[in-house]
Amino acid sequence: MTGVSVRKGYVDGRFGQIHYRVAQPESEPSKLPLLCFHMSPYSSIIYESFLSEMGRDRLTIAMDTPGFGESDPPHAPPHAPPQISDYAGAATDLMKALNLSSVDVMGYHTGSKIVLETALQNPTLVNRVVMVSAPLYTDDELAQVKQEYGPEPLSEDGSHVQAWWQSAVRWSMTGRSLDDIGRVFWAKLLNPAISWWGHNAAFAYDSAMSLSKVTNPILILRPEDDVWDATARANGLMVHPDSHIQDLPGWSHGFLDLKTAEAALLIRGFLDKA
Amino acid sequence: MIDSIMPVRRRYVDGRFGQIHLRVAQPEQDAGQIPLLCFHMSPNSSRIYNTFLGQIGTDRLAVAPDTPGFGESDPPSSQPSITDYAAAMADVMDALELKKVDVMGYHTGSETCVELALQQPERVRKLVLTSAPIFSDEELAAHRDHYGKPELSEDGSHVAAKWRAYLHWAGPGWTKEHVAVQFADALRRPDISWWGHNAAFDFPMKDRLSEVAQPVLVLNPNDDLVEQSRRAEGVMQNGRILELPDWGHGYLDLHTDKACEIIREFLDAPGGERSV
Repeated sequence: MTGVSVRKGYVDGRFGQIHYRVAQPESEPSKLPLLCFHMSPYSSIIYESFLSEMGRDRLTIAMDTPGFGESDPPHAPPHAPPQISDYAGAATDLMKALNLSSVDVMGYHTGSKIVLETALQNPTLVNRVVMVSAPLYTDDELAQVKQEYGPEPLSEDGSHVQAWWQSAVRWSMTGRSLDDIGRVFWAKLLNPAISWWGHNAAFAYDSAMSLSKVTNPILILRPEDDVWDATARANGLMVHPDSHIQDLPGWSHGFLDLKTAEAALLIRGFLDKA
Repeated sequence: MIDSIMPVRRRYVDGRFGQIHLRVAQPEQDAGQIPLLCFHMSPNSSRIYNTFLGQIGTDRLAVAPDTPGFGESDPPSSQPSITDYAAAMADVMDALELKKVDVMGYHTGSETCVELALQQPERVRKLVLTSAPIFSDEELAAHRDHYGKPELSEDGSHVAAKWRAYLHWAGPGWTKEHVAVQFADALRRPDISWWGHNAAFDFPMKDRLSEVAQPVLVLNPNDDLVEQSRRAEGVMQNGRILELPDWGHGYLDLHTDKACEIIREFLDAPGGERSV
């Protein structure tokens, strides 16, 4: 099964240039466009294989969140870094720039919070919502992750980048090769002075509140990754009767590359149900 | 003295190997200077020119492409040569409708400048080369070994080693915070990131540089190619070497004003117009 080619481009948004990856079929698709948002830090590179597959039957776009990948950062003072609502605003700018009047959305970790907020900000623009994990933290957990994912000092001996690599290996699903990790790892290191902004915004966002307010159908994919337990708490919060959590035991980071076809089947099944 | 800085924007154009990613800065009104194309070192990307573009772009269109396979530019389908990279840079000139340009290169990018000047003698006016490496056979053998396809480790020791190498070669004043900004690009596409060095080591720099008729200015900072660049003395038809013993990697960020002054003085002096 061969996918379609992935191209890249820029549009202008409220914070400057927004960089995105895009894949689409040659003929006019009958399905709604799908907009994808990446985890922190990283970039739309994590969706490359997935775009190639989903682009076979619909316009599929992955945005670099402002400040990540090649997208310009928000002009935020150091004491007031951007919030999820800012990122969702940029997502709206992207939709306007590309003349998209109705979309499905998908987000991965921090990206899953951006899609919730985008759905809240644009109830008529957004149709169905796919979230890869929906971590709801206890106060203790929140204090711990804030500590873990805050700004980090740079080492002389490279131990800081080595620790990041080890963490990427640690949380990769079985079968993900070092080459697979190497293809995306660099994106974690871009814009080092502000790469903590994504996590910072994610930890300040009230996902539980948003999950209970969004009336769109939501599919939460729950791979067995670092937020497996925290995602279980989303159970029972969602409003729409089609909303549900799909457990994916044995899957973890890298599944978009290793389980591309299976993930696409699950997601098409949900998005195209309506 | 121009003290304003132009915004650097990014865009894509299409070339023979797919999309080519560019960083672009230009004055609000055409200042009449010939555009400047800037080619980066291996691996890295046009990001190394980000600060410089904002300054040099105050009086001319300044464009830094990502070499195919680096940064956000699509890779060739097989291992390319410097000839291929130069041809892709000619695609950039065509896409931007640039009839005539000056070119500037950094390490591998310097070789691309030389090849482009020979491929497009009517369209390339002057060359600024940060280092013009002419390697001995022994050096080439050692470099091919050192800069081959990187082995990825389970424990991340390869990433740490690369970081230490980047810090080791950082010029005076270039902090680890500066290095960190560029470092991500050095880790991209580990499966093909060695292609740039490989093409550079295959390029007959001495022979090709000797054929260049256009004016050449070699900037020779005190970096890992300082000795190799001195060998360009006597090889060039119409070139000179400017020794910069107090500068090293990072000078484009740290000595941007002075670099622009030197480069403008060379580019904007009479000469380089071919008599037909």
